Amino acid sequence: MAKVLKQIDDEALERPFDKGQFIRLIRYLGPYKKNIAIALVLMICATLCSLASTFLLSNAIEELQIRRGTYLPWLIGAMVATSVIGALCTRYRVRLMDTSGRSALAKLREDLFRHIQGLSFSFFDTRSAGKILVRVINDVNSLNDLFTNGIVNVLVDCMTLVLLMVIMLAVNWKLTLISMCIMPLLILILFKLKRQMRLRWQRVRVKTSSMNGYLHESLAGMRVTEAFVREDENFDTFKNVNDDIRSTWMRAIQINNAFWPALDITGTIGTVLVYYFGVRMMGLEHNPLSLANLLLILWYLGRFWEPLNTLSNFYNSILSAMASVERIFEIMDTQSDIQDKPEAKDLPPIEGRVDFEHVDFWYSPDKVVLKDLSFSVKPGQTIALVGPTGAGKSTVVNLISRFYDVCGGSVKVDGHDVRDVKLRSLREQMSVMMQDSFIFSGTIMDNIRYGKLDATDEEVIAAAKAVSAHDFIMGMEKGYQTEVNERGSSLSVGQKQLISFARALLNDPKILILDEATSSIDTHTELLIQKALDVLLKGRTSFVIAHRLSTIRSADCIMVIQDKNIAEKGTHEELIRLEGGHYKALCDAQYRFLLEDN
Amino acid sequence: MDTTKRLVGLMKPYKWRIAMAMLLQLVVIASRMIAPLIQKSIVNDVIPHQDLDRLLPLCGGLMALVLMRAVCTYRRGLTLEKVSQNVVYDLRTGLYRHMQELPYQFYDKHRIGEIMSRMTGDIEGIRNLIAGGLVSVFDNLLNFVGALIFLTFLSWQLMLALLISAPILAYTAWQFRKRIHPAFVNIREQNAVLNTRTTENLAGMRVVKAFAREPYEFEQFEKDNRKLLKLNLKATWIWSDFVPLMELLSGLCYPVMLIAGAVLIFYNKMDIGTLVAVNGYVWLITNPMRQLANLVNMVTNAVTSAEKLFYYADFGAAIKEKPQAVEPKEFKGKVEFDHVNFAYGDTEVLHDISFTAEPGQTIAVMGATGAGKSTLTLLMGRFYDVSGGSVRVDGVDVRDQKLAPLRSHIGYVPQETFLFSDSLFENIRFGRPDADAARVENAADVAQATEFIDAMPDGYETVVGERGMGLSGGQKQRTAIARAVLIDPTILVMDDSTSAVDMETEYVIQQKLKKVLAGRTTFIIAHRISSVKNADQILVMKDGAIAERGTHKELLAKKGIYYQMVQDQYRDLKNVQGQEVTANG
Repeated sequence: MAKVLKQIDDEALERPFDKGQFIRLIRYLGPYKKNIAIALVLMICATLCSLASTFLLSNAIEELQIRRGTYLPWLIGAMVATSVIGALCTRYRVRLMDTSGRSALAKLREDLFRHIQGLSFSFFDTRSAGKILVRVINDVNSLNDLFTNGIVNVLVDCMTLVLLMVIMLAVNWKLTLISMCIMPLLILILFKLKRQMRLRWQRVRVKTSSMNGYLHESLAGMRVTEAFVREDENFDTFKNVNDDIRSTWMRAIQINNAFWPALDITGTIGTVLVYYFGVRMMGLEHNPLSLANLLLILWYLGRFWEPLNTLSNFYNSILSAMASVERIFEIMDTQSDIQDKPEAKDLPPIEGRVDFEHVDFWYSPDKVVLKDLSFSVKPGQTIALVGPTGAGKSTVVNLISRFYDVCGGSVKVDGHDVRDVKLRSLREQMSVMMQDSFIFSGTIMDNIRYGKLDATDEEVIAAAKAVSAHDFIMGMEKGYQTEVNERGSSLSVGQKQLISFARALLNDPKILILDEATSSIDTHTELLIQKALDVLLKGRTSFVIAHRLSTIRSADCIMVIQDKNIAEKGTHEELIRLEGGHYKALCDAQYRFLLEDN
Repeated sequence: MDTTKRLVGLMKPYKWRIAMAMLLQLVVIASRMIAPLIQKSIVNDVIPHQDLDRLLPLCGGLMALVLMRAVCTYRRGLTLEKVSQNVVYDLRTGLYRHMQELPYQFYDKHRIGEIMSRMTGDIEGIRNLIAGGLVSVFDNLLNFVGALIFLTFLSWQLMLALLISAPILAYTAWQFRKRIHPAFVNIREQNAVLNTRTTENLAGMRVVKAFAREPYEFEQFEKDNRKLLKLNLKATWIWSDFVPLMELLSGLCYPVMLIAGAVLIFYNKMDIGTLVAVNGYVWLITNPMRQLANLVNMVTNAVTSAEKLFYYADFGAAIKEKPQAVEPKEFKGKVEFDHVNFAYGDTEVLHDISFTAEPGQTIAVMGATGAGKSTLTLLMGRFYDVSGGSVRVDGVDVRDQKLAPLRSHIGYVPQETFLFSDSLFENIRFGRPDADAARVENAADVAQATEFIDAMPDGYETVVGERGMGLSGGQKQRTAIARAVLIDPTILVMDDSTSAVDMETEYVIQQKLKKVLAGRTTFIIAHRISSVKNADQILVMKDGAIAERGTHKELLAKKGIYYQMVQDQYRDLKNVQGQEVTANG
């Protein structure tokens, strides 16, 4: 299980800037252009207020120094005014930007989710649900900062830098140039040191998330670990991982903690330079430097690092945003291989006739699953599919509901090629039940109603009664309102199956596809399921991948799928007489198992 | 406050380092207090008289002060980080070890997600407190007090004028915390809702597609997504109501300072250099007030986190070996249940169970879901402790035995198969990590797993589990059987472990198991009569007690529960064969 440690986060954390993708992303902000423009103005306004406030303070102090009170009330009044205006601007800027950015992201997330809904099984076959989830949730979330703050901040920060420079140069260009000596140091800290910091923290994050993965799996498998006495090995692994995290963390901290002290030192060098030369300039006979200007340059110099810092953060966040963006668009660019044709029509209400005409199918060309398969099924017939595991029984039924497309030949429902009709209209007229009946979290009522969203409570209950699920449901604490879910639910395998039967019955399909579960179920529930099946299969074309002898026997036609095609076909009585046939062998094996002393 | 005491106890081994860090911080604070005074001196003494001789030492002093401050800050940070990392390390590994010793009850009661959030979020809360919180409290407190003292000496009138802002700011910050906190809780919860919705949608994709419910799913998702947006914006609104306001309140300190300063200067009670110096202390007064709410919150959170963690650490009845624990002379596989009772909290799960399994016997356990069948078998490996009576393996009460040897002689195939995210090879040899390839392949062969493993893209090296290839239920079960067979157990427990395997394969597995495990004691929990009918003893459980016991034939003769089950199950076969089946072989 140490593999978990290596597997996690094999995904790129950063990607180089890609203009095309960036523009595609930014387009989501398009509808909020006006909001963003106003926010930008507000933000510029707030910045000006804040710069002005420092300017006013330095001048007020100068007024006091020369003991002149004329302008003082005005200066103080202006300071109060700029503070208030600045606060108001910030308040509305944040609201506007957050609304725009978050709405745009919500839209992006919805687009992604909708797109995923349209993808076919081959997409889900090759990707774990966990990885898809991360894209819908985490990758989209990680763009939040960029959308709500990043872009506007960068514009304003560039402007702030220019303004600072211009004002300082105007006030005293000599002193300003001298003070600019700290710039290279500042840039080194903010870009080089920051970059190192970031890389080291990334390492910590990767290690931490693998530790969490390991921990999660450890806990989930703790019963197995205890049963097989593997505690010591696992503990050693866990300890090593923690050792590793601790040292990685300390390596990150070594740089991380240098950041503020380095900034502090740099700032002080600037201060000292300004004092050292500034004070001399104040003593000049010709055009001396005023106290107000000395203080102004001093304070403005202290404001340089902030915009530079956001710029460097922005650069870093762009790199990681690009990685998220790439993953998001990768999914959005995946085209479903099963799509409605542009000229596809709704499938009219069907009777339930199914024809396979020379069907070929493979997942990859070197592993052909079905070859030249042809058969036809009349409305209302029950077909039992039997055969060895992996022979393609599930594939046959998956082709009917067009979860996959044939590679050759065609599948027709009531004479319509399934590829020529709208998917929705096709699937709405059939029900597919998988081996593991999936239960959504919600009430039992909701779970059954999934088969027909506008069904009334009475209809739901009637369906449950028909498949003999009513009694056990009523036996639960809150009856139909009992909350259930997939994990940790109080439902047994058999009960889940009955619920999914009710769901299918409510849907009232013309074609029913059933992958019969092999699970052994306690005898009572087993009987209920048998009864429910009789109700369910009546009057519908049904394909059953069958394990129960009773289902197989009562089928109108049994098809043995073997070696890429139908090996045997007929009723139970016909097939049982085929000496050396697969079906006979299968029955014999079951009888032997059931009856023989072994 | 017992929790607080224990929390402090965690840091005790590092108390000298913490003291050292505090000392360093003291130097930092002192330098912060002195720096404005240097500025004052420059403005007051150097500037008016152009006394350049004093400028250089003052500038040098400032530089030296800041260098010292930088070094101390750096050292202080490293020291505390080291302490916090060590505490976290101790906590994490200690808890992990503890979890490994916890009985199954603990895992029945607590969800993995919940334990995970304890082990990550709550531990992080404690780390945060030690690495940042402690020093922050110390720092802000001393900054505030120190600034007040220095200001008093510079100008007590200005100090009083600035102090007005403190309660207002603290109150605003407190209100902000109070309002924003529930907003964040709501966001977190809604995030979880969205997460679950998406997870379920992906897990149930086959059902979604089968019923063509994509539009419905999207609608539901959109609803939750929009709600999340609304909640996020609500938090933004609160933020934008308070944060700029606090900014404003801090900012207004400067005009207040100017007005008061102007009055003092014009009345000759103060000089300009002092005003410049005071300017340097304003931030030291306003900032602690703004931080107050955060700090209180951080400390209370850490205490709550610690409380939850200690609950785990204290989770009682951890099953531990007795110091004088023994091993049986020889593991033969004799199992005796002697009037065993087992209660789960207040509910009695097993009642007065007595039976003996001789070495080599097969014991079948039947009964409805929840009858206590799995619990019964888990008592043998002492994953739970009995609440009455005793369980003996090879003559020795399991509570007197050494745990590791006992458990490594029992091969469990649990009802729900858990596979680790590792290769099939490693999963099969999980119980004996040093087993060679031949042994692994042999075990796989017994479990009829060879065929599907060979068909996998990477064979035995195929990674399975949550992060790997998805296996079908039957494939998982066969892997689990191989895993149990590999340890060559004296006692094998098959807990409904062929439910997803088709009958033909099950038959073959049983035949092979019989050969490989000849002479071993086997427990089979099953519903199918066919799986149990050849057992030496069949126990039919009902409501936690043994309702019927005996061999297949004896039980048939009894015409009780077992007989009824046989009738129900073989009805099928009767219909199929069209003839009467006596089902007694």
